Amino acid sequence: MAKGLDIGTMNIICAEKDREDIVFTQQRNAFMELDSSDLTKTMLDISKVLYIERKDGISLLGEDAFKFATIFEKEARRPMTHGIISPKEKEAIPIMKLIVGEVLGQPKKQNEVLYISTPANPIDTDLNVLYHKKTMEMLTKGMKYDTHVIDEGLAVIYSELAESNFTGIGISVGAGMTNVTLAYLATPLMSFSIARGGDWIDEQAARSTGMPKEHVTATKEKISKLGKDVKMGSVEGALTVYYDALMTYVIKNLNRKLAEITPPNVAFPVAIAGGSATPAGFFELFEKRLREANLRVDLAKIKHVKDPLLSVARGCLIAARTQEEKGRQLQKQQTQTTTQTQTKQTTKKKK
Amino acid sequence: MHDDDFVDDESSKNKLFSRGASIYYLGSMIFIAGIALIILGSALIMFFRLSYTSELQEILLTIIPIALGIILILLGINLMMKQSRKGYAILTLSIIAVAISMFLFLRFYENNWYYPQIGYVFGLYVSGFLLLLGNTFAGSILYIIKSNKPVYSPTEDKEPVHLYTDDEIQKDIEEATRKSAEAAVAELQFNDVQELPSDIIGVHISETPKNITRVKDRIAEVRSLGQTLSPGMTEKWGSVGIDKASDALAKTLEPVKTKKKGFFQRIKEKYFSDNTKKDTKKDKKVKSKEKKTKKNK
Repeated sequence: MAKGLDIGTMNIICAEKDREDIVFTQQRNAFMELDSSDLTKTMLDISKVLYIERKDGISLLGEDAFKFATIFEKEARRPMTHGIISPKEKEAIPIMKLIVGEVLGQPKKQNEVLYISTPANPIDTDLNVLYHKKTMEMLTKGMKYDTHVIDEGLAVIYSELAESNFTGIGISVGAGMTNVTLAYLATPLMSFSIARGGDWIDEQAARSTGMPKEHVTATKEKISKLGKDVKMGSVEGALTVYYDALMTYVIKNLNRKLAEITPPNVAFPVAIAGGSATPAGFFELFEKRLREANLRVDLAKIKHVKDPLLSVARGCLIAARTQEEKGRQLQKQQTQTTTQTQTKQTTKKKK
Repeated sequence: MHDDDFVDDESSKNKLFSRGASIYYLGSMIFIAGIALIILGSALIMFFRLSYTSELQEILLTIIPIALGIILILLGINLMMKQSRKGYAILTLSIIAVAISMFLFLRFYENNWYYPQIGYVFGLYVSGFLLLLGNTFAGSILYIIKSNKPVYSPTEDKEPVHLYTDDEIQKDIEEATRKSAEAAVAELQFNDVQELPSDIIGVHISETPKNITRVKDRIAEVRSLGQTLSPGMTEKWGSVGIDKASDALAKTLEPVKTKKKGFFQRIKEKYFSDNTKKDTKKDKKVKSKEKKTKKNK
């Protein structure tokens, strides 16, 4: 049984196959510190909350950290920022290890194939994703998984563009980053990321409206539709403006990167996924901007992804199962050849 | 190979032209003169009707232009070709030998034309002639070898000078840094992956309700991705895949055949088939109903 793991700035999602279904296990990539007391511990135990006990306090992990942050009017801390392990958080790696372990679970067999998503190299900051990739790889390998790494954009292509033979542009709009990959027949020709995503939209909207960032994030997750008809000074209006700005920024950079390569002369379909691509009206706006942009490649249809939040994890699962299948076939071929050589040897001996 | 052998650089080209301008024309003039002398000698042979009984003056007037003409032709050819120092020395030597032989011939032919004088004259002339002929042969062989050799041009081998922009240099540096960082990261081994920080006393994760989504999905993409990434893995060429494809193609290309029914089959279908009977009964019923309704109307 293979697994796919989407390690995002906001969510960590594991996808695995269970008979005819895919099971997605999701956890927020966040934590919050509380003072330790017997009462608090009892309360947390009763509430079945995920937490770790430290010598100097308690750390709530995942979704509960978000909930309690709202209750205690505190800010939930994030082990990752801009798509990679946060250099500002000393606790980032152990916290992520616990969350990943909780979401992923133990492997069902030794060296179970696991594909994890990582961001591509960003083009607008000096951030380097190499260390993050290696850390995540080692973290999951330490849990006895046979870990492989895949770009987020490519995972979107694997998940959404099968009907076009895995040819197209995959865009994953996450919380910390936006990842873009152009692939031809499942082979990535160009991959890059932009250090802007849902968090950037939240920050900009919060700055413009004077609202706390958490409030903007909550509004963004509940927003009915991105549109121009909004109330004056509302968060929705600011969100629409900054979503639009992010789209334009992504498309401009995509066009710039396309100038550096010579893509094959085919029409490329586009699939847009990611946790920040969930608001209604997002696809329509992105499609409009893409069509207006006059890109250096011809565009085929722009696919409206059914479940944008789970798309990357699903792509990782597809890659993992393909790898597993390939390994199985190779093993089969090897056993066939060994049996053939054995039978040849026995017939020779008999002669 | 010696540098002189190359016909490449500009200075040697200039040298060749300056040498050719003077000696090449001189050589060609001598060559033409040689031909003219042979023509003249041959004409005089015809004119004097040369034979054993011919006069001394007539023999001298015919033999000398022909002998001189042959030498001049060879000399002209040699001068037209590029010569080394050794070549020029051979030419000079052969000219001297031929000149002496001619002088002796003129001197001895009238009164002392007997051996060993004839041997000296003939020997000197033949040696001069052979030297010229040998030099011509050597020169032409060298010319053939040089003309078959690819002309070496150092300017062709040089890559065009490319001036790198600051952006390109920056990209190069970034690429090199990235590669070195990738190599360094690949070698990294974290030895404390299994361990948790020492200040963590306990982890409470067992009864945490997880946010689980279950979606009905057979992920057919796995098969198509496998085929796209490694097309030869599932169905090898000449195996099931090609059989399927050829069957499908055969079916597509096959024209739709409508078999003509035989006489007995048509009768059988018309009179003995149950379906046709039922149909005819139904038809009769419908027709009778229609008649009734018409009558009622």
